[in-house]
Amino acid sequence: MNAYRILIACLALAVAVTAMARADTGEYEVKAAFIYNFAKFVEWPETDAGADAAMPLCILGDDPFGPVLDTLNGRTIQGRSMNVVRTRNLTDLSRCSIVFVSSSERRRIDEIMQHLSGISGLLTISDIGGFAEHGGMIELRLADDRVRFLVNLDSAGRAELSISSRILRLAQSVVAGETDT
Amino acid sequence: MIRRFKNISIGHKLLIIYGIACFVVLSLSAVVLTVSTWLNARDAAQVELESIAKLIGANSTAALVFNDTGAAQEILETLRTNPDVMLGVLFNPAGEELSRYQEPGFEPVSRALIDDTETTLIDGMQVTVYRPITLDGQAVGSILLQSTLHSRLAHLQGTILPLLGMLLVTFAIAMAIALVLARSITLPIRHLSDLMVRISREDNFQLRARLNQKDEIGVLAEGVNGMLARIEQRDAEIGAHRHHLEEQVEKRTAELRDANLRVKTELEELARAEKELKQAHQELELQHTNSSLLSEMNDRLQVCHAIEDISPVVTHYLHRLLPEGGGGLYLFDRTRSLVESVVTWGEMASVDAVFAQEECWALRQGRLHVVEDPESGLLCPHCSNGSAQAYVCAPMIAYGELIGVLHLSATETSSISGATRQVILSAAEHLAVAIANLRLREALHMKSVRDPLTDLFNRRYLQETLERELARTNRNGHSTAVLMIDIDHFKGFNDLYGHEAGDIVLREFATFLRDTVRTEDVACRYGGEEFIILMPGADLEIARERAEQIRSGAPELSLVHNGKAVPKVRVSVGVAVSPLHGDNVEALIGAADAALYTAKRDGRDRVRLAKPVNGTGALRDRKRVNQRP
Repeated sequence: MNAYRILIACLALAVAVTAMARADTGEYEVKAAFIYNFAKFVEWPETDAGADAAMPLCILGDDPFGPVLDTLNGRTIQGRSMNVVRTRNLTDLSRCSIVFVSSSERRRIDEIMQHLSGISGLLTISDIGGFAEHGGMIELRLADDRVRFLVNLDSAGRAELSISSRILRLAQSVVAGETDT
Repeated sequence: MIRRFKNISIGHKLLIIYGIACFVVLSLSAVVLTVSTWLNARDAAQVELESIAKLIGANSTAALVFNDTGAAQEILETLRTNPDVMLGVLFNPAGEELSRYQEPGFEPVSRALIDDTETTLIDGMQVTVYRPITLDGQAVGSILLQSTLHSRLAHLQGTILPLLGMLLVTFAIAMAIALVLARSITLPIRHLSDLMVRISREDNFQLRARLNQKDEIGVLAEGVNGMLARIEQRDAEIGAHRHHLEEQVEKRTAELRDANLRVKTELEELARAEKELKQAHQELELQHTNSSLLSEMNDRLQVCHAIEDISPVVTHYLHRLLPEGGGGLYLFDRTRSLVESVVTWGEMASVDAVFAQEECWALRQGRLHVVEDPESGLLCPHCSNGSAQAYVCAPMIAYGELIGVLHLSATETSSISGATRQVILSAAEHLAVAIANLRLREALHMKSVRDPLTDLFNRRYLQETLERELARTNRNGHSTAVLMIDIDHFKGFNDLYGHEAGDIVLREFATFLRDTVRTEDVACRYGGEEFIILMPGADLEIARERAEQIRSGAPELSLVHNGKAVPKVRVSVGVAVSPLHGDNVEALIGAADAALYTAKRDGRDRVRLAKPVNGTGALRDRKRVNQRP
């Protein structure tokens, strides 16, 4: 019975993701799905909190997603339960597993990047242009009405994060001195 | 089919058997080999396709998750390296096709055949594998792969064909070897069968099998040779015996014919004899029964005391001896010269109860007279007024004396058989003798108790009878009278006319006495001219009257001797009655004697009664009375 429910939910989500991939659907709904899917292909270093600890998804700055993001609350990835945290305070980020830097923070991106570079085990995602070049790990961008992404493997490697080669195959470009395949 | 197989030669049979066996074994091996190779190839193709599905599924998770058609297509293009894989399709979780790889000209199976679970299908020359793809426990899509088995079939053909060729060569070699080896069996057998054909055609038992083998055929050949030798020997012996045998047969046949004839005749005679024997046995049995009955009857007759006693015996036994019909016993009365019926039994035709001797043919002729058919037979006059029935009259003659006749009447249905005649004759004989003996006994008894001259009872009889009567009358209170009679002057008759005249007087007087007394009275000659009448039950008065009757009647006797009249007879009578004058023989006779003496003394020709009681004196006077003048 339980398995049946899960299957229904998955099918619903898949439909949603497919819909989001179109240009006419909400851009941020697609981006939210991308964030969720990235988490599946990333390996976090082992922490003291254990393998089944929560996986906080932090939104830094204004929340462009709206209520769609709350659907991710409680979803499990690799045995860890995702919870969404909205913040403007950089110091809150040290307890996050994933941080999405809202485009509202474009002005203080250098300050943010500097702060983030010291935090291990934090996956950084943003749709601010040039985010990957500035040391962000995954940068979302629109191309031909489709959401695509870039990956900076160096940044990820420094934060002790391992990104699956299966994703890299899909990335528009990979900024890397080396790959971890 | 099997009948035809039976009739072909052993060589061909062996070859066919070998051929079939080889062919079956080799064919089965080829089939098993081919099938197992093919199944292995199919399994291998399936396993290969399943591992490809697994690999592609794992590699395409990201493309599926991010809905990246290009990446998916890139992954599927790797299938091109495997020429057997004809189709590869990736579906997103909604079941929509994300990307497809398909060999040109390939007709894929319908998607409808496949549900959303793991599926592996082998359909003809196609292998289909469908696998859902999961990531982190979630379904992210599915993959459908199809491959063809054509290349593997081609490979199989390449392997099997040379194998089949090799099998054919093996078969040929095996058959060649079998052909050579079979000759070691077929040649000697053909030799034997040829030999048999020659023997039966030429009728020549001198031929022999020439084989040098130690196997079963060798044994067979030796056996055949031995048999042939024996047949040859027997042939000679048979030839020698045949002539003799034919003679023997002829002789025996003739003998047999004779014997048969004899046996037949003997059997017929035997049957006849048996029948006769049976009849004789039956007759014998009947005779035995009859003779035992006759002897039983004879025994019974022996103990009969009087003629009257024999009636029930005769009735009983003759009725048992001759149950059919009836009969009668008739005795001849000599004094009257008549035949009288004594007893009759059963159903009997009416026969005269009394008839003359001449009226019966049996009595006339002195032998058995049989009338089997009353219509035509000679009927006795004494039977002639009876109804028409067959009958037998058997004369009864003993000691040359006619006793009587035994008469038997048949019923209307029965006849008189020889056995019946025999029984009647025997019965008549027995009866005749028995009756004659009875009469003889009676006559003897008579002689012993009677006086021969007068035929009156003698003194001894009187003594016995008186004793008996006295005992009886004393018991029941009746009286018994005794009259003692003496003829007066009897000595004078003797003296004047001789002893013969005396005898006549005595005889006539005795007759007179017999006629005068009652039937129950007993008249005796007591001695000389003395008589006694014993009157049982008579009292004194009756006795006196009777005495007077006798006294007065005696002179009326007219006696003639030698033409001369004899003087009148006068008698004196003494009367005594018991118990008045004595209750025993001596006393009573003594009293009567005394009374007689008194009558004599008083002048003769008178009756005197005894004096009552004292009879001892009378007894004492007995001598004196006898010496009277």
